[in-house]
Amino acid sequence: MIPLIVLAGSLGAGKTTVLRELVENQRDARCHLIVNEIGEVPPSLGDFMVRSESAVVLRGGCACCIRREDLVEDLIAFANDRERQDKDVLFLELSGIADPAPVIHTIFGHPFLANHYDVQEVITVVDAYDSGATRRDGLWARQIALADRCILAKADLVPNEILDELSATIAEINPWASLVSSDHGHLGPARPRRVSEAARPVVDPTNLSAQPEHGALPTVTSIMVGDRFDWGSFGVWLSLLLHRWGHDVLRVKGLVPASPGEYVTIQAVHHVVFPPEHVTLEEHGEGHIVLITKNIDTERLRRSLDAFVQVN
Amino acid sequence: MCMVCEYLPSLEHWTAVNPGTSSEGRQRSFHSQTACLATVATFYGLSVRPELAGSAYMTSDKKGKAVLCRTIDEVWVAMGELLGREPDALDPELVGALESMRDQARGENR
Repeated sequence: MIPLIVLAGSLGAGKTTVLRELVENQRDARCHLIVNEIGEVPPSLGDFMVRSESAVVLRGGCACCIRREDLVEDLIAFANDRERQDKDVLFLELSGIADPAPVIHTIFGHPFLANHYDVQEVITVVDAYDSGATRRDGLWARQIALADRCILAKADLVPNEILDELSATIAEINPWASLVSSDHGHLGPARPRRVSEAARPVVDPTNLSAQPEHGALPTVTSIMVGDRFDWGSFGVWLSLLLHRWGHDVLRVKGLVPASPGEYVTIQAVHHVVFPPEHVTLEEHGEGHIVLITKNIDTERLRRSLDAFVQVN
Repeated sequence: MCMVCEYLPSLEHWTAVNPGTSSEGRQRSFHSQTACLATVATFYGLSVRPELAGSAYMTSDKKGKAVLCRTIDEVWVAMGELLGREPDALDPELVGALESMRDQARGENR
């Protein structure tokens, strides 16, 4: 499987600067790039100033919609490259108007790509210097909601109070994404992304009816599950929920108990559920499920899940 | 393939993963999944039962129309076609019915 890291973020947010830093931090890996530009004018690869083994520019449209077939072709070509090595890592930098969800759908729904690519991380670059105009955009919140890691670019240009406020908004939209500041193009220390920590919600899990203050932001629902959690009924519930409401379910992430010390991970983006994985943790506690949704009331979700997993 | 439970992500629906490591885990999970599916189908006046040694589901209505489904996701599509409306996990009447069944079962266990 080829490790794939997806980089998203608004136009001018600073994705390429962050990409350069990410690539330079990959000491033992051979980094390759696919960069999507919405404009027809091809930037020279030198403009990227990113040292990589290879770089492909996908231009003239957004890879999440009109250029998606070209992206598939590029990914297939890369996977079939005979000179590919085990140490290869592929970075996919999306255009500023791209929604990462259709790209992830495409990879998981494609028989060849699903068997050749391991989507390791979705990184969203957030422009800390942004005046706030893009923050009213639904895409801004969606890019954050789908991220495993958010990087605050241009953090050196704004006062700490603004950074704190922005960090709180990001945590409200996506409680599990780790957050790193980029100062003068250099990434600050990141919290280690252990599954146990990364998958654990930082919101108050007892506050099940918490609603976001901003009407436009997605709703975060965090539900704790105990040892009586029933995987069979849960599968029925989640698949039925996503069948009807998948468009409004931006992200599902969870860690549910299977047996003492053993957990199963749950991850979904809209209608697509990632293959669950078994995780063994020394620390045994309650599991949890976090859902980031729009247009769905938290109490309805919680009550529905409770009714389903208690069915048997 | 998952080395813990031999789940094949590219071939199987995600719900086929064995939640535990015991050999009975997958079977127990399948039974609870089937029972839950049957309960939801009954609420909508339909029936869903496992076919082909548990590798498929037969979704049918009371008039005898039946659709063979390979995955749970296909069951919901078939239910939508047979019903003329989409089944909904957040349907207040469905949730209320499941809660009543749960309360009744708890009462019987006391």
